[in-house]
Amino acid sequence: MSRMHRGLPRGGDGPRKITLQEWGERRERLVLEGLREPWYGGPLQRHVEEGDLRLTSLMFDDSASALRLWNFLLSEEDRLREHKAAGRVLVGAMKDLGTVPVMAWSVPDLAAFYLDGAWWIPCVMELSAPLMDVASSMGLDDSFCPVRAVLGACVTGEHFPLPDMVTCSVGATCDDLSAVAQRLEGIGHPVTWWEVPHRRRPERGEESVVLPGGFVAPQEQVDFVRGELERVRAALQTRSRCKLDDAALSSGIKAANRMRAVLEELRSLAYSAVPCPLPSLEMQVAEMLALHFCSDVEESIAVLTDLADEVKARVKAGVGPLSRDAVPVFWVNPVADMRVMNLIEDCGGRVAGTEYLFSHALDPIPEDVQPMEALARTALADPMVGSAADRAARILADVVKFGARAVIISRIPGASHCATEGLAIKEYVRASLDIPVMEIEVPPLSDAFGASLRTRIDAVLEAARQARAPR
Amino acid sequence: MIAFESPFVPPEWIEAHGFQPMRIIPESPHEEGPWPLSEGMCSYARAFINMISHTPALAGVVVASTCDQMRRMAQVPGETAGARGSSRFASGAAGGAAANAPVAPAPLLAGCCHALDHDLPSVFVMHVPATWQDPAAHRYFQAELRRMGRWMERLGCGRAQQPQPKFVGDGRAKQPQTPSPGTALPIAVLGPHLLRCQERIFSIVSANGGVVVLDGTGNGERGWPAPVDRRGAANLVESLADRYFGAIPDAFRRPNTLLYAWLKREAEKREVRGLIFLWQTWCDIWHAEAWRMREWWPGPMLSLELQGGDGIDAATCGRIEAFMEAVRNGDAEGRFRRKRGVR
Repeated sequence: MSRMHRGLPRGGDGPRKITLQEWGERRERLVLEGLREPWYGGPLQRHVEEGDLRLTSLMFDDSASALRLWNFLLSEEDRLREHKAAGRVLVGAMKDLGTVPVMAWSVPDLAAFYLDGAWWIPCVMELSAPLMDVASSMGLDDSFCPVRAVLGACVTGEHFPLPDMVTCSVGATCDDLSAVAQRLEGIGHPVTWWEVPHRRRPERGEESVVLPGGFVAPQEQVDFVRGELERVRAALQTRSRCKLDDAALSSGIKAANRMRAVLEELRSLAYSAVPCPLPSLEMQVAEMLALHFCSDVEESIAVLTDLADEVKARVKAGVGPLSRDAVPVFWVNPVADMRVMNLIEDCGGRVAGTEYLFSHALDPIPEDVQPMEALARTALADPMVGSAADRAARILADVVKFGARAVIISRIPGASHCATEGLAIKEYVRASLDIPVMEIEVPPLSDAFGASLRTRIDAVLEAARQARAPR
Repeated sequence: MIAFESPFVPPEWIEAHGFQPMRIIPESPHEEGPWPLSEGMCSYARAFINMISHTPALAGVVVASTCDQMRRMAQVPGETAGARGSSRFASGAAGGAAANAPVAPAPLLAGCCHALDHDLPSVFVMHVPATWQDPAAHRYFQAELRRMGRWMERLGCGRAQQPQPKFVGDGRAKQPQTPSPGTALPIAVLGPHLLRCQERIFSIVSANGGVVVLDGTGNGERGWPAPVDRRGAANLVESLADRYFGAIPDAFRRPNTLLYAWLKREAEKREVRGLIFLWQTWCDIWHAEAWRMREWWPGPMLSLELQGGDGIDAATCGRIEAFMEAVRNGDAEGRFRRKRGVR
């Protein structure tokens, strides 16, 4: 993308956030000025016509890079259908968040995506698709986490092509997803189950290994997970009839690491530069790409590189879409309603660091060990499989790293881990840093709770303004 | 004394290490302790962890990782014991991201735990694999038993001895009831662990002309290990893994087919006429089975959500009463008699 299309000073205006309607006009202008879009490009409005109604309630970054990011995200279904039409085996991965897709995308005959991603559909389509109703009618009511939308999506078959095979990591994972996956198997989608044990601390004198991200685990557990992933590898090979050897895996890991490196650079700038160079909504989408490359490895790297270039240019110019005095907030857990990412900024905050339950999908995968060993270490680095103290420690480290002055823990309604984990993290951070920490609950469509969410966020930001900087 | 809650924890293994095993079943959901009442929290798991935190006589507690909430709640006493500098810290060497934290990390729920007038017991979180079809899962369970053994040795009672014969295969002394022709209606109850106050369901069934011939709750027969095969493995750990991990059906296991196979076998054997299916509020694992069970079970079935109050409320009582009446009427008319057996 040429510099002309970056969000840099355009007649005195810096970058800003704009509505969907404004994006329509801005895109037309950019196209007239020579913007060349990839094949999935086009006006964002067309996604609304396809049912993504939530876009009309969001505020977007006004850069051409952000336009490309959104179009890339919202066109994934088309790519999946193309993969299917091309004869590739579609792998529906569940729960491991960042491991099985790296394996699958290492060979051209496989394409992988996360079924878990369906949890955004109720929000993006503003509940106009009856996924939750279908799940409820099959016994997964609203006491379950919004990931139950996966069941609805697989029953209706309307939101993505049904996968040819399903993998799901279980063991020390969330009960909701395990229950949903079991139900999927019950309706005719055989699941390749693989185990990720509760990550424990090594005993005294026990051989241990430092995992990506800094957690430590016994080598014995890594060996076990490697064995489980070997079963997954065998299943992928059997289903696709292609060879998924170590050379292919190494090259897949390298590609994943290229993406993670770009993302790390992007996070580092977006979460610490003043003024904030990129809104949190686009950052959340960018982080999500790391999970399964949004079904196109090279293009996802290109999209993120473009976004990182935009951010670097903004940082260099000292401009950004948010006020310089926006309060830096560390955000814990993904929000089921994307609109809340706008809300934090509407209240005068900015996101300075995140832990969306998949930090292990952002950390580089080791390249100095055998690929299956590297992937096993990555899987075991999942913040959800360890203790809340481990996760809290990582959050604490990142709060300090990014200079956040408040922490917001976003509870996922019905999620089995949120009942206890949020409380534990809150206590841990509060006891260690003199900054406000608050828990909020965000349903897939938060409009009805908008006023109370705003009040709570306002309160925590106010407290952060009055508190001293982290010691 | 070492407390445990899961049927996957072999009491013989605890006794073999010189400790008295004690299975704790909380009386009611109102146990006070480090965990405050919070939305989304399983009342059974909370009651258990709170109960062990104020039971001073315990040398340790073993918690199985079979559900997300229990696993996470159990970490609190464990982490806190470590942070207090107790030599009984369950996890062994310190490590993890906490070691790299730029500021001194605080124990979880420190305020609540430090208000206690005694040290929290050492907690051992035993990972019981959800998967079971691959031999690696069985080996992992064995490795966890050995690790548990080392933990008990560190607690101070020396190396494992051969378990006393009285205990082998006799961990759960109760025998299943079998129906007598012409008497009460044979009923199966299936579900997770029950609080003591929730066990009143059994007497309500009896009071309405039934008898629970199959206790498929976590407190009951479903949690019994397989009988000892005296010709079986000479290795104690292997034998325990076979009898416990290899045999106990549960809803958390993936796939969950063992549970259905067990229910089919036992229900047919005892000519069960009706099924009462239970789950604790916020227990996703058992709650998710309710719908599937209703599809699969060929006779009358009552789904009951146990809402964490004191025992069984009047509405639940009324539902059981009505259900028993329906079973009785259906039975008299032969409507529910299975022709093909449980599918």
